[in-house]
Amino acid sequence: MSNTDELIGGALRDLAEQAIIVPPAADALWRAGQRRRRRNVMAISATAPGAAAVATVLAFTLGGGPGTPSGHGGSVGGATGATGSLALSTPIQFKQVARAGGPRCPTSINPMTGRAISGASFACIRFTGTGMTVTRLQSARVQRGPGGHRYQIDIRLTAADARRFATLTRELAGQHSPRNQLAIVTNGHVLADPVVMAAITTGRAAIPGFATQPQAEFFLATLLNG
Amino acid sequence: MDESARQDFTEFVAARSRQLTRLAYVLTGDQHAAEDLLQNALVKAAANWGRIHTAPEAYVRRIIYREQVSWLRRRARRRETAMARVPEPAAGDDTVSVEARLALRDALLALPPRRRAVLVLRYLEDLPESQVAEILGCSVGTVRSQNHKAVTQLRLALPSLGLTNTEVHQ
Repeated sequence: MSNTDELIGGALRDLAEQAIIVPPAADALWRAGQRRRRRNVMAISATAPGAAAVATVLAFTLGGGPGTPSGHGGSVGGATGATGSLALSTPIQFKQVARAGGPRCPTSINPMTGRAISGASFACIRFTGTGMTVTRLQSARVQRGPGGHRYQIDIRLTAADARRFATLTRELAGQHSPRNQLAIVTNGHVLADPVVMAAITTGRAAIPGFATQPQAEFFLATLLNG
Repeated sequence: MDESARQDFTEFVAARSRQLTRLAYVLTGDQHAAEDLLQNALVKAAANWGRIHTAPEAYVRRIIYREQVSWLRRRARRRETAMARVPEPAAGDDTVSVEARLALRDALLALPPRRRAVLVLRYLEDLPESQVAEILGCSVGTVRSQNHKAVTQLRLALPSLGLTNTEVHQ
């Protein structure tokens, strides 16, 4: 073995030793994999009469900072689920924003990635008492977002939740910023806080902003199965 | 769901995640990117477990390498790693100084993904060039040229180390 081989090999081994070993969540990865495998055989309806309205009203970017709804992106195509409703092990909360850009939050874990989020870079969002919690979905589906280079989770609420959601969004739509923003919260972390411009009566929403399909599937599997 | 398949997958992840994380980290040079890279590969492995369960590690490694060097992934990457620091020459000493090894590590991180992947396969995994080409999905000629360019880039960044281009073994 030459000196060059030894030097480069040694430096690569040094580098490998610096990796922090975080055991992957095998069960969640397995479920995400199975969902990926079954994706093409699930009964999905492409009919989505309300999708365009949802895209306009409930479009948000997960990567954006609190209080900075993007107003672009959105849902493409519908997402009527497989069959029946899906129980969520991690509830999704929809909460009216009372104040954005407040004091710094303590460090927390981003449920999107499982990584720690530094409190130094994220401001807390304060909520009013108005909101609702969803523990079941009619359907959920991962698909490409507009432009085709990112992924999103299209969700459809159950009929009962869709009525509550319509009432909630109708109430927020008439208010001034930031009280017209609806935060989507799981595990105490704000995924997004889009501006609600009109009542959403279709019970449909989209969570865009995932860089890869496995990432979106993993997040969805976490919502469904913990 | 096939419970035994799920159990096999879980055992595979438990047994091999340490080495696979290190591989992903060497390729990306970033902890979070490494975790994402490995996670994506494992999801794909789980989706195809029935087909690949007899040799899952080879499949996962191949996914990791190819994802890392794929054009779309490179294009999506925004961040560049820090450039090498010029080390102090280790005058009168055959051993390489710690500073020089650190500088070499930084220079490795500054290599483009495909070149770094070739070096990892060549110098860390000690694979023949035909197998390197097969894993990366390219020709043997491409492996040779990428290896040559990578070592040249390292040599230019760190002239004091005396790196030389050697033929990739068969």
